[in-house]
Amino acid sequence: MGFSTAKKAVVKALREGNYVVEARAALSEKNLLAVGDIEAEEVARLVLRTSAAEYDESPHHWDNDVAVHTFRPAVEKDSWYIKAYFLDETSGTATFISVHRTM
Amino acid sequence: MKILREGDRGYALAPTRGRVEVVYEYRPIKLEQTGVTVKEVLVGVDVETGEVLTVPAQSAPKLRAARDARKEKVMSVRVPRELDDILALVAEHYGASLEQFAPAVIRYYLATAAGNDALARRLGRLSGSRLAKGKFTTSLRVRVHRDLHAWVHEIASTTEGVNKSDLVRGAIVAAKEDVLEGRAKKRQRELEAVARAV
Repeated sequence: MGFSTAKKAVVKALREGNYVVEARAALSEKNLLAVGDIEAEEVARLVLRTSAAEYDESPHHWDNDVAVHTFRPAVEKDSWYIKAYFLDETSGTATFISVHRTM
Repeated sequence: MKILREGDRGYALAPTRGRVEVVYEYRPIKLEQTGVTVKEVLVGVDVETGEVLTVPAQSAPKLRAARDARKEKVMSVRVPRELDDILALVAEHYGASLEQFAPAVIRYYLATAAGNDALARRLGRLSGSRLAKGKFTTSLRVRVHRDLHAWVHEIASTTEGVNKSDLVRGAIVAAKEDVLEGRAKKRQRELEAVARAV
């Protein structure tokens, strides 16, 4: 998908509320987006401020055909870790694995 | 916001099995760190195994509300019966349910006073009024957010002769003056909005 396309697709999904978060038997509250501790628009702004050097794409370890997009923007004093993928690019639904600050 | 409905279908990744079909269902979900279980949350469930795999965007506010509720503290305050009557009269004034409106009135005054020194001083002064100084025979329980509870505690500890319960009693006397005696039109309008919301 590449940096620019991934960035646009993730921002579009966030702004349209077209996203889900990964969950297991229990939902991790470390994913701030999952529990509403950060607004989708704020995450979109963080993604938009990510440079190509702060972006990485790698295969999902549960399905090598799925590309995971990792954004690590540094905004003011905070560094962020945002990880998402698309299972179905036609629906545009993003699945977020992580949205949190890093130390 | 894309709103999913119960029964809608989609896809998710499952550990070891990769891409699987999910169906959206309302289920209780446990939050990992706080251990809170939130009822009736729309989640994506693996069609084959029944395992929860995703939570859609629309479920986040419900999860946040459940976590916020955990941050609430209960204030137990003993008041003269007459103050309980005042709360009932204020509720009747707005045609609101006493049970729901009375704690909301107290929260309204405390939360407003947290950002308004003059009102905070007024609540302290009114707690010394004759009405607020009767026999404390009725018990009130008010749920307040942790931050507001901390503010009430701080004001009470830094104001001589005023404790947390005094501020609550002062708030009820303030409601009598503002609403029943018609002294504060702006506050009356705000309380009317609170009455409609509860």
